Amino acid sequence: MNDVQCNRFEGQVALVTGASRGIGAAVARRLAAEGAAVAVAYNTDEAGAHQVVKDIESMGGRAVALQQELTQNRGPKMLLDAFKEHFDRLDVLVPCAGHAEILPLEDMTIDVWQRSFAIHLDAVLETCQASYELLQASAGRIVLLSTVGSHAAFTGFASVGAAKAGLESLLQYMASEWIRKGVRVNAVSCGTVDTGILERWDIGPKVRSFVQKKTTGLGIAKPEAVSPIVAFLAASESRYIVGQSVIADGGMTLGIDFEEWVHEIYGKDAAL
Amino acid sequence: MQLEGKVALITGGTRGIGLEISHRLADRGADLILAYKKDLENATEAKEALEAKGRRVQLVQGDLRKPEGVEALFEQVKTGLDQIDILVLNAAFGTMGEVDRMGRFSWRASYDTNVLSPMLTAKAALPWLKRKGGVITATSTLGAHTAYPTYVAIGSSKAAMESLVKYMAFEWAKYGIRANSVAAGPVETRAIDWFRYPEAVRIFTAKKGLAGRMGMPADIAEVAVWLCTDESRWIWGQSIVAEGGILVGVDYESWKASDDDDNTKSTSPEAESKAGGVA
Repeated sequence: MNDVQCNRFEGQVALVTGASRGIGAAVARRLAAEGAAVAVAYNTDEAGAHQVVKDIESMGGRAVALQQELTQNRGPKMLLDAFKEHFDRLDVLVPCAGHAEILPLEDMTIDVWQRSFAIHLDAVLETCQASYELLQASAGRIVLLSTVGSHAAFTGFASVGAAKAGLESLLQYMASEWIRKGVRVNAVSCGTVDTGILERWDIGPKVRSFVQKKTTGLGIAKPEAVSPIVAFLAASESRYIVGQSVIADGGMTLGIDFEEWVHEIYGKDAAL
Repeated sequence: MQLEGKVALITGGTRGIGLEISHRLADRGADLILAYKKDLENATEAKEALEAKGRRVQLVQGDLRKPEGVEALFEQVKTGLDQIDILVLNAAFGTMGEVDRMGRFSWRASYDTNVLSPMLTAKAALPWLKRKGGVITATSTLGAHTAYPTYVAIGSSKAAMESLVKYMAFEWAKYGIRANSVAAGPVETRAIDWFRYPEAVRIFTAKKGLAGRMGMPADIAEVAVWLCTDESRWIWGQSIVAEGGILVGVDYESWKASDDDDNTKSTSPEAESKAGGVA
């Protein structure tokens, strides 16, 4: 942190869903570090959410954990009702709640497919709708979380990629319709982020090694690589950016590198 | 401070968006090398204002469209601050005019300043940028992503520059050099008056875009400077579009249908009255 931009959210309130771990937790901590009071919304990981709240309180900030299953009927509405019991304003909304299952398309089930759309698209729309009135009152900002898997195909990632492609379209509509009421909407489109999910995938180690090689030497992104970008899009610095999806993938999808084939065919000493 | 100990070389950093960028880099602690072509008086004025912030500022002169100009300019860097961590490719030039009116020399002049010069400049700055891993940020235009009236020479050359920036990010990643662009919507600088009908650009932007106003140099400079900081370290080879939302939506609610437009006659009176008003 630095003295030029360390208090961009002083006096503001942020609501972050999926904030008990991963990117959501990093975003909640970052916004709090810059002065925001934060509602830490979570579904199952109560311990994680309370740890985030504790971390924020220990740096002198204010945070409240709110449990809510967002894909259930009226879930987002109930979350906002609970939010309003603690806060009377909302400046920054970051819907991070998500869940990814790796399945090749031939094995895709309608349940997995619909679960993905329910959390990555339907719940986001409803959370934003439920927040819209409060956001209007504060010229609020929404920062959505997307993935480069919505622009390109990552094997087995179709259920998330397609839902996030829907989210990127929703971004344009929401940004266009709501900017007139002063609510600014943008997205960060992430590459692979080390959120603990790789450990739960069979293909995880392979993904990790691939990303390590492809991200211009940066290695796999920590959630703390994404949270400064979310903070930027939520701050007034980015006031002229509207309806954009900012790709932050460490260069993973930047170019096509056939270096390995050069070495395989021409020998490892071939000059590049 | 965020950029303390770093040196930024800025082309076109003595006026407009470039000057705003220079000031913000200085505010964050960077020392500056300002490259200018011929207006020494203007460059000196900028230098003095930036030195007043307690920063070291070096002026370097050269025509960056020519290899010998680039060489001469970087010789001055070598005998001056002799450090470049951040390179801001901001100098721009363009001739306004439609495709059917575009002359070969006007066309080439735009490409010389907007594409050839950034390539020569970045290449010459590479030995310094490689030392500790640097950042390159280029300023571009929304005209590279969509078409504006009379803007083909600038828009198409900036599209080529954005591609160049992507290639630099791709090829120089191995040196830890990160390159990105910021593509600006219409901004209130002297370049707006190059449009045949500048007032139309202003009114369109204010009506279509955010907050009912034109973009200001600071709106773009904030994004450019942020791209120079570690906060954006995961963004590689991208063009960040900052255009106030003028292109995001297609807004027919504010469309004024003309009286002799046949289509309006078949619409209901309700729809017609809606079409006349601005939401």
